[in-house]
Amino acid sequence: MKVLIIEDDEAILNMLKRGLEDEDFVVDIAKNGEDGEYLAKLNHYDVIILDWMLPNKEGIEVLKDIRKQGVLTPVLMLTAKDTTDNKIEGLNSGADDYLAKPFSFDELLARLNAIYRRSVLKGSNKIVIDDIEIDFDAKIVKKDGEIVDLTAKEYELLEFLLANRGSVVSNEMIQEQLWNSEEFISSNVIQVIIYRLRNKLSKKLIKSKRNLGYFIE
Amino acid sequence: MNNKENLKSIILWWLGTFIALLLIIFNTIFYEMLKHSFYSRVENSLAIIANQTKDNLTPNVDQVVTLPQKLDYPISPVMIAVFGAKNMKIIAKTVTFMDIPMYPYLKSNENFFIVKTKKYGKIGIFISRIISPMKGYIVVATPMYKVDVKLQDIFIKMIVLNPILLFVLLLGANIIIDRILVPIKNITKVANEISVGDLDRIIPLPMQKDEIYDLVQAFNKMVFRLRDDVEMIERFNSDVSHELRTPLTVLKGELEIALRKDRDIEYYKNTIKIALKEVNYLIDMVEEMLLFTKIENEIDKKEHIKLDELLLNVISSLSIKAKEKNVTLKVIKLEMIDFETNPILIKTIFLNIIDNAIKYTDNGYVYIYLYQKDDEIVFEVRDEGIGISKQDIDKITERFYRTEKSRNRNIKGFGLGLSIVKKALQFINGKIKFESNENKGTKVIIKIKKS
Repeated sequence: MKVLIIEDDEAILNMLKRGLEDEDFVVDIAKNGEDGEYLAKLNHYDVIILDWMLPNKEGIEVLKDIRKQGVLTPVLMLTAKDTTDNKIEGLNSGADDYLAKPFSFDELLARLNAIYRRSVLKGSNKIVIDDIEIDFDAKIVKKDGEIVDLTAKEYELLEFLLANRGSVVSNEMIQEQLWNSEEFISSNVIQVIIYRLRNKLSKKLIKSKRNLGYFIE
Repeated sequence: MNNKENLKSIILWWLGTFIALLLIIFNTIFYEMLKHSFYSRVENSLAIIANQTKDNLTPNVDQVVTLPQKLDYPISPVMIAVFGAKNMKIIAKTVTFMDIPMYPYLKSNENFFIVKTKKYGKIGIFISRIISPMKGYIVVATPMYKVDVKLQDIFIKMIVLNPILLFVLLLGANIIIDRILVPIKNITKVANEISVGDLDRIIPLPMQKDEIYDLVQAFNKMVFRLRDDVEMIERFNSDVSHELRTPLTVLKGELEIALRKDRDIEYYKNTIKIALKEVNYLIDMVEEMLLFTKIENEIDKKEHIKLDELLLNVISSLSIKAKEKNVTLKVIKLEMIDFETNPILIKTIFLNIIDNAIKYTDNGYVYIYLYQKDDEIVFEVRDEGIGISKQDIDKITERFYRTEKSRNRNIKGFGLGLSIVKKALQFINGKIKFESNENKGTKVIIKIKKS
């Protein structure tokens, strides 16, 4: 899952980035509203974590603006305010969820997964294709009832393909999804991951479309 | 207000008692005066009759007089008798004249008596001396029952009318008091409805500009002041909670992340370091909030201190912080000043002002001056920081006030520093002034009276 964190407090930002990367999230960061807005428009993210109080441009304004410009990425707002009015204002402005500081990291994870499931996986937490079963909550893949040991990137790619099931996903899209903006990867990394996924799961599961990308039917 | 003692019943009780007493006194006097006037009217009538009779006495042989017949008397019935001077015996009398001993009255110097007799009831007697045609006394008497009946009648009327009068007066008073109490009841009603959460209520001002008007005005003003204070406290609470939430979020998050998996020792060390940093930040925050209360306990403690030395200590304690921000602290003027004052208050002032200068300056100089001028000690700090806008300059010493700029630049603080300085200055007879150009810098001038 790829997330963008827009948060001005360095300590919180570092904590979130490290914590989420540790959970195999791909994390981009922005320290103010303007940078955040720019990144949100430029890249595709599964979820945006947005702090309410930001220098230069408040989080709520960023949210309103990106929604106006047609960015439909789910947004989870973080805030030090926890009055009901604020909650309502946040949700009315297009936020998908709301978490008051200090929040539990576990809860943040659960909510991010829930948002992802709702928006990307359309509410399902399990998919079965032939003899392969993917559990999005536990991030576990089973073949014939046996757990298949996948690396984080392998799982991420599988999930991404399933999220876009039926449509072709290009190399660029995969690269953008699986690595953050500061990371550079060699061109055949994706090919390698696909190859390994096919070996571990099934040759037929992931199909290629020459020069276009990959897809799951 | 059912069984409770209320203002109205107290006023009515006292008013009723007072009016009743007044009525009793007034009526007693009135009754006595009336009685006196009735009696003196009887006396006058009797005197007239006596004189008329005297003039019309017909001398007889043997020095015996005959009473005139059928004179026109103003009152009736009238009893007349003539007594001889020598033996005080009746010489002549009307048929009706009663037989009571007259001797004590004849000897008296008074003319008029009210005598109570068993047989005839109350009787008014008038006695007058006769010189001619013979020496003696003429006694004219009349029963008083007619006068007494009249007096009794008036007395009964008073007994009946006075309570009615009292009742009417109290009824009027009751209505007036009710009218006076209406705005007071309003005040009570609104006051009961006002709570911390609902301080927008005001009591409508009465039409008349009287004491109640003043009371309502004073009450409304009090509510306004309370509202301002509550707003300030709420703002402070929200600020504090916001400032507290950030380090707590980091603490909680870091600890939770560390515990999610088994980590190496370096990872744990790092987490503990971060946690410690946040805890220290929380401690600083609490300390600063407590400083405000602490200052109040410092007022009376005074000692001789060398201000220049104290200032240098403060500067050196801030040097690391200044270095971190690439700020150079430059002492331009430093006079030796011995001064009797409270060291903690002075230190708080020095520390806060220089700390602010460092906080709001990046890569620049902070110039510090300490000198005496006339009977004042002058402490000046000039920085090359972000400056203060004109609209903010009057507010920055308010408790919890933070400029938009300092919030946006994420400079930590709660807006307490300058309000603490201001409070400290109040205790040591000092003043603070700000001169500032936005984005160029700020000059803070503090003057403390030496005497």
